[in-house]
Amino acid sequence: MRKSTIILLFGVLQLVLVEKAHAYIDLSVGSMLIQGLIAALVSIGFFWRRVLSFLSRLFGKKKDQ
Amino acid sequence: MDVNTGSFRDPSGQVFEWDGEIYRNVFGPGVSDFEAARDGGIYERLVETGLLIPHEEVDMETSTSEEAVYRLKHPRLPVVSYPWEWPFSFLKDAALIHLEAMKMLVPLGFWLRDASAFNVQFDGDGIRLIDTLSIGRRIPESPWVAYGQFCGHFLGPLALAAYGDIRTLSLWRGNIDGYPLDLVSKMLPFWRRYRPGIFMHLTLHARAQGAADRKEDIGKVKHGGKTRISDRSLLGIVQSLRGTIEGIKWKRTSEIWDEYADIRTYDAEDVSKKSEYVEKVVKRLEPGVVWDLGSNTGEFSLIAASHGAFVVSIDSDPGCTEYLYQKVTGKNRAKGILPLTMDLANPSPGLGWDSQERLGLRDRGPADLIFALALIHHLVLSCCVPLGMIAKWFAGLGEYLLVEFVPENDPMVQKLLRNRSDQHLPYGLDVFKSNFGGCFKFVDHMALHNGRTLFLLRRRSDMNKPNCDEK
Repeated sequence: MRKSTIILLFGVLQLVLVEKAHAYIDLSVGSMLIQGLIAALVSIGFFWRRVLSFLSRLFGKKKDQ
Repeated sequence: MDVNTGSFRDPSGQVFEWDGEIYRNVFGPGVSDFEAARDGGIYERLVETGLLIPHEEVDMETSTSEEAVYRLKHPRLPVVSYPWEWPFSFLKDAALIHLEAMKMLVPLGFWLRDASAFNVQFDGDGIRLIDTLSIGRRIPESPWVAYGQFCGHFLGPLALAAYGDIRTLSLWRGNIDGYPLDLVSKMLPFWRRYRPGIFMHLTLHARAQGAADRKEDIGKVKHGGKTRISDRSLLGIVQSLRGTIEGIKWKRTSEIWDEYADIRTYDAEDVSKKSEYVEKVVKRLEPGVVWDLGSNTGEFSLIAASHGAFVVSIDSDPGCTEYLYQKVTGKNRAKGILPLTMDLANPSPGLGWDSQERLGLRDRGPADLIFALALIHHLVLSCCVPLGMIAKWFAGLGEYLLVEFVPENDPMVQKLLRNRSDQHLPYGLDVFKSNFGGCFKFVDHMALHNGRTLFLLRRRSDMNKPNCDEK
């Protein structure tokens, strides 16, 4: 893993679990905590994909010319 | 009243059977979520879109339980099935209906309180969520409580089956609450672990689970703060899971086409004779439930289902059951067929708590009619099970039995005997008749040109325990 990812991961792990879990199933602390990081990565992913499709449209237009 | 053996974990409710019908008690802890979902029209929307099994509220004249606040009645499922038996795409579809439900629920302020493969069943028409009380009010800003379970029950098994080997689906039998994520991550091909979707939801997730649990043990994780996940973030995670699951594709190898080598032993007339006879038997008996054992590509399951039977179509080849599942859910939809992957010499056992929480194959009967078409020679000659034991086994599963008996001189049998000469269990038409005659009455038969014979048998005794003394 990249160093920045490790730092980010530990950063998230210093935060803690929501007080009352309202769940009857067995909860893993890690599964709750990791969602913060995953949500961030997901939105980076969406952003990145939009950048890529913008770029491909841009270069697509240039080719037509 | 018979409480469902698998219904005890959720303090919100319990499923039971009474007078042939299926009911669910809603207890105190589940009341506020139930009322909120009911009053918000949530259940209607989910049932309408085919995601949730319907229910009706019933009066509780017979108070079987003082704690029950509401009682719901559900339609009865024809036959229950479990993730270790499901074809690949069945498990995948089960995952996707969870995500579709989440996509609908989250903006309305609700979510799924658990994401268990056992909350999904086939009702004869399609795959549905069957745990009505799984729907609850979303805790604002909270991470999804069922995220870990979703990944263990669906993402892990699917990824390992598609990228490792399809046979790893049998790991389900040993991991009753989903696969441990570190196990999956370890066994995936190296480069697969680092693709975006799998990397986040499996690899990184597994490391977080391990690290956080260790930190919790040594007291480093304190209580007092919050991990905030907005609705938008949660929907982003759901969308990401959806893309990841949809992208897991299993390339079915062409083993099933080798089965078609069997077809060479039938000429065109035999093929239609066999189909017609099967159809005739189905029309005559009008079975409610048919078990097609060793169903291959489901040709005869389709015949039975077209006459209104619910067919459990069992084969040991995951490629065959996947093929059949895609066929019945694809363009030419066929209702009432449940393909399951199972080795009949080692069928699904009872599992879970006290080995009864999840039912073994023999407890899911009885079947009205069983197909054993070109099956018995495999059981005797490949699996080395004596005919007498096979007869007793069938008698314990259902009332009528349709056997296609393959004689010793048949090329397929010859192939099985090739390297064994006399070192095999007794097999032949006379041995078959004497062993099966103890448990069954021979009702009818029809011979095919290729030497095979179809026999219709009926179990002798009406008791469940068959009386199978040889004559």
